[in-house]
Amino acid sequence: MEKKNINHRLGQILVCAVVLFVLIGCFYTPYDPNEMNAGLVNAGPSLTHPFGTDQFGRDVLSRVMKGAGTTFFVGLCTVAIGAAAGILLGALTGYYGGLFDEILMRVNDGLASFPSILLALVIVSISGPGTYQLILALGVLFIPSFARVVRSEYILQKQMDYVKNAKLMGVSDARILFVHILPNTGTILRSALTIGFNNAVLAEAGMSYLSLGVQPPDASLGRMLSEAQSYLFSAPWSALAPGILIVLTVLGFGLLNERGE
Amino acid sequence: MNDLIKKLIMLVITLLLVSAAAFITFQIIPGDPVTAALGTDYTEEAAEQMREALGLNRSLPERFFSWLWGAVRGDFGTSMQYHQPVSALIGDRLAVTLWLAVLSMLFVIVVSIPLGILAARFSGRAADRVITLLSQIAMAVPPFFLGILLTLVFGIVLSWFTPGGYVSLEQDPAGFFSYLIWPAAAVAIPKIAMTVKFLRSSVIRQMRLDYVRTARSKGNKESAVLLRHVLKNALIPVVTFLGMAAADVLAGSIIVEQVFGLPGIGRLLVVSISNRDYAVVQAIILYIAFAVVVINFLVDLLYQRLDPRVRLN
Amino acid sequence: MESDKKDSLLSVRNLSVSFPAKRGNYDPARADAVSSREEAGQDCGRKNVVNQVSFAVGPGEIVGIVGESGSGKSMTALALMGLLPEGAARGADELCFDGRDLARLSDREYRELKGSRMAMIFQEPMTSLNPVYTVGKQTEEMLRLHTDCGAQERRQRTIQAFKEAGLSDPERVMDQYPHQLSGGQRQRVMIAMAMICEPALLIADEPTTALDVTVQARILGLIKQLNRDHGTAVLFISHDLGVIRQLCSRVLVMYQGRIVEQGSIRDIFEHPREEYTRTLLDAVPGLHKRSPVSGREGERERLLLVENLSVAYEGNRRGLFGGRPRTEAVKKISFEVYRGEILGLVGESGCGKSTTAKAVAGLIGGYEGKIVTGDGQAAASLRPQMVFQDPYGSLNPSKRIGWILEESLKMRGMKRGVDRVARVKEMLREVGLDVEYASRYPRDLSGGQRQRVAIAAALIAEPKLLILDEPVSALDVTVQSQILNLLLRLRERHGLSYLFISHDINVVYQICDRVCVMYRGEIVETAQTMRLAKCPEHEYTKRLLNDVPDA
Repeated sequence: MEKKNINHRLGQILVCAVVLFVLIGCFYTPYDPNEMNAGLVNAGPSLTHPFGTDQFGRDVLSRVMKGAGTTFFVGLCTVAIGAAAGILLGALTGYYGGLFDEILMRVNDGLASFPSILLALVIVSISGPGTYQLILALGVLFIPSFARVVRSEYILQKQMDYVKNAKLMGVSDARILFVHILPNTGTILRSALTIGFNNAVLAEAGMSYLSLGVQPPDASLGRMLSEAQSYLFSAPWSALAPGILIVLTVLGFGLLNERGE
Repeated sequence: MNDLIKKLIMLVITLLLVSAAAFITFQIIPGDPVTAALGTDYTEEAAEQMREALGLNRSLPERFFSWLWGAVRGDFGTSMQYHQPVSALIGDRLAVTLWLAVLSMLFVIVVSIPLGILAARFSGRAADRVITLLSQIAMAVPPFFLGILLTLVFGIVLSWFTPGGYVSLEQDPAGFFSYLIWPAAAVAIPKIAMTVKFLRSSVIRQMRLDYVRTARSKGNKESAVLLRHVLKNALIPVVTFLGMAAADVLAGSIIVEQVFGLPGIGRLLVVSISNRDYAVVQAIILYIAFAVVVINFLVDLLYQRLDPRVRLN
Repeated sequence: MESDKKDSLLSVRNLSVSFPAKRGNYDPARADAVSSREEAGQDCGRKNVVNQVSFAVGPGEIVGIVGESGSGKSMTALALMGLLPEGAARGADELCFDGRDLARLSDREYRELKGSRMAMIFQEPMTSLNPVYTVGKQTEEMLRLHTDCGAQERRQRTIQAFKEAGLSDPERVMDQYPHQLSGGQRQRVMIAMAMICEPALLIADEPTTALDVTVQARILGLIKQLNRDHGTAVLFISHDLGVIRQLCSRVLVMYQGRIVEQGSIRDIFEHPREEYTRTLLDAVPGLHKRSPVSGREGERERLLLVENLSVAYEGNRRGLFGGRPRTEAVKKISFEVYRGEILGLVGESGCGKSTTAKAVAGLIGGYEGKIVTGDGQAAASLRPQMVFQDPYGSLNPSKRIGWILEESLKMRGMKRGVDRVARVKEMLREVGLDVEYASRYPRDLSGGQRQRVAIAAALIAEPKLLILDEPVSALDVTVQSQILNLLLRLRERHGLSYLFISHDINVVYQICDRVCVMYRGEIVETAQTMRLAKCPEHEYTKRLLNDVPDA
């Protein structure tokens, strides 16, 4: 009990720190993240450049701040698309069941057995690489996982006697779906949202690392890792900074989830 | 047995559906591949000729079945970027990726099951806390970043292996696997962490059930309660989990081999996607999809062996 | 008592079980149990769930422990078996079994005792068996742990034990998994398992509570027979005084962790000395205390008419191409409810009584037959409301009590919030709750209180017909009688009609004017309660009445 709370607390601290870091990056960065400096290529961490500079002499700290913003943006948009459509689909199919539900769930099961990064690769191979293409691809791919979670919760809840009571009172279906049942899926939805966000961050990083997501010169955490890898020997800091930020983000949201169990 | 035949038929149907999906997906791409391929050499005649040669003037079902028949014989057409048969391009590269995935999966199973049991057995105590904390961190590391870290620490700083080095399986099997260990570790470690967490909570959930009390009331030792009564029950959901993990491991392998410069299928896939070489992309996707479907099939069989409630329904 | 102790099999003096005060909540689903435990007294940061309990069991004797949920009776049993949940601590001045001091045994010695000299059976035979092994294998394990028998002999003895436990075709049962057996069969397997090493003491923790009455009677008979044949002493734990009376020679009454009274069955039932024992006995609905309500003959205005009602369920599809198997839950039943009447619908689980209730309430479509009001209108015009068995599921856990009650008023178009709040307060008072409960969540209430709220939520819709689906089955007996009295009072005041569904014929006797007996989807008998009690006509009704343990 006590330990879970410590983990949860740690998660809160990490998430707050990372979010603050990203928010500051939206309004202020020490240098222009895309400004090159030929005289300071692959310079190590110093007082003026705490995380060093990359192969073009760009300030790694500024780029990480900006890049994390891009990654968060992709993550949030993805989760928003996936959750909005997933909740609606999951609620309707879970509550009403029937043929529509059966077909949708078969498709869902099929999609779920494939790793989402592979499906994202397929979609991007058609739509072409780019930030918005990536958001759309990941967003659509996240719908099934949300729909599945919400659906199974609705199947459980609709059998509860309080739903039967509501029906007997003459409450409309829409009100039962979204006023009576939805609040009871809160705990599960919250953890689905954080897990979804984590998966989105990881997927963005993976896709951009493969140069199929965010395109240069824009920075994102995955993009930076991809660029830094060739200079791992001479400038490991430009790979470590974005990588560690990914780990802290995912760890933070993961720990935040601990209390639910 | 009757049941097995039914499942085999379902497997074939699923494979057909998956190949149809893989085929149709690449038919809805906007833009004409012929126009793109000819580029500045475009003339009506040349385009017509090329369509004829590629069989693009036939109907969709016709094209699908001729593509599928080709696929069955290992003929996926010609790559537009390399001007080589797709099957020749994929050949050896597929083996590298598969070996990487198999080795990673082996790591996952061998390491995570004992660790998960250990964490559950000593839940709340020091051993459990250390395992849980480490797995919590390991879960947050994307495999390719882990690959970069391993390269940095063991390749560059400690020089235990040559970053970017590789020998083929035929040349030197031992060398081949020694190069594979690092990328396999990078793919496996996050999955190990997830499996440990999953197994741990599965065991703990089982330990709360009534039959455990019955087992204790019979006079079983605590270790016998855990290994003889709880373990089999706790492994049932883990099998499904490992099936999904296997698919993820395959996907992870594709990314991680970029980090280590392994000549697997991943590099080819990424380059082909960037160059819109659809024949290659289609073939690779089909291979991976088949692998995923077959993994699911095997998991299903194993699940049935473990859980009598499913077996006898 | 003194002489008792010398030749007793088990003697317990001042046994206490305590939990750390913070997490005494070992079973969070039971708010009642927790709240009563809170009062049970504390010492140094720990809460006692069993407090200074002393008793003895002689060889071959059957001793009962009776009490409501949270009284500490199960904890007492688990303490004897050394099976207490983590965090619980046991303390006793004396804990002597079979001439050995249980407190001094090493882990190994205790383990050798468990299963061979003292064995236990539990309430839920489904979950108490391991789902992934055959019951034969699980039973054999006892012999593997405690004897040196070879495989052949183990199999023989298991089959023998199954036979003795009354399992027909024991050889086939050997290779079956728990989910393939019925509830009664599973409990027989559990008994066979417990008895196979011929223990000196069998501890039975509510072994028949989860079973239907007719099965219950047979299991009790089996325990009694094994006790006679093998001289095994039995410590029988139950909340059901009827069962205890039928089986035991002595009984301990537990309340809030203490034994309030113990003595022979006769003394306790006929001359209870303690106040609590008397409350407990009074609360038990039964034939001998209250004569069944005599049916009201006066007004015979038909309120509801059900004619040839059939309901079929479609099961899960068998595979992708298979058809859906249809099961008929209710087959062509007809009955009527008169205004101001309480009609009972009684039968075992799976007989179709709940399905009937849902059809009448309008919760299932797709039935055949007619459900109309007395003057031929749709049954919906009665605005039927339901009260369900499980008071934990019938109230929306994320809403306050006030919101839940108001929802019904909103639906009926009461626009002004002030009016709604006033009506809610009125309703809460009527069901005997304080008005401040409006701002609480369901989780803050005990089972009985929740059931009161559920009744309020049903009544606030101003129904003409109230359908009660096992409304008191999940409650302790003392709470049960309070709720039944509330229902009777509300009927008088509002001239309501009830369709009252129950598996417990004693409860039905206490409240219903007329009774329909259901069996396998059909109504086999309908009669005035009094007549049904005195001269049941149908074979099944007779069986049902005979098997009911009468307190």
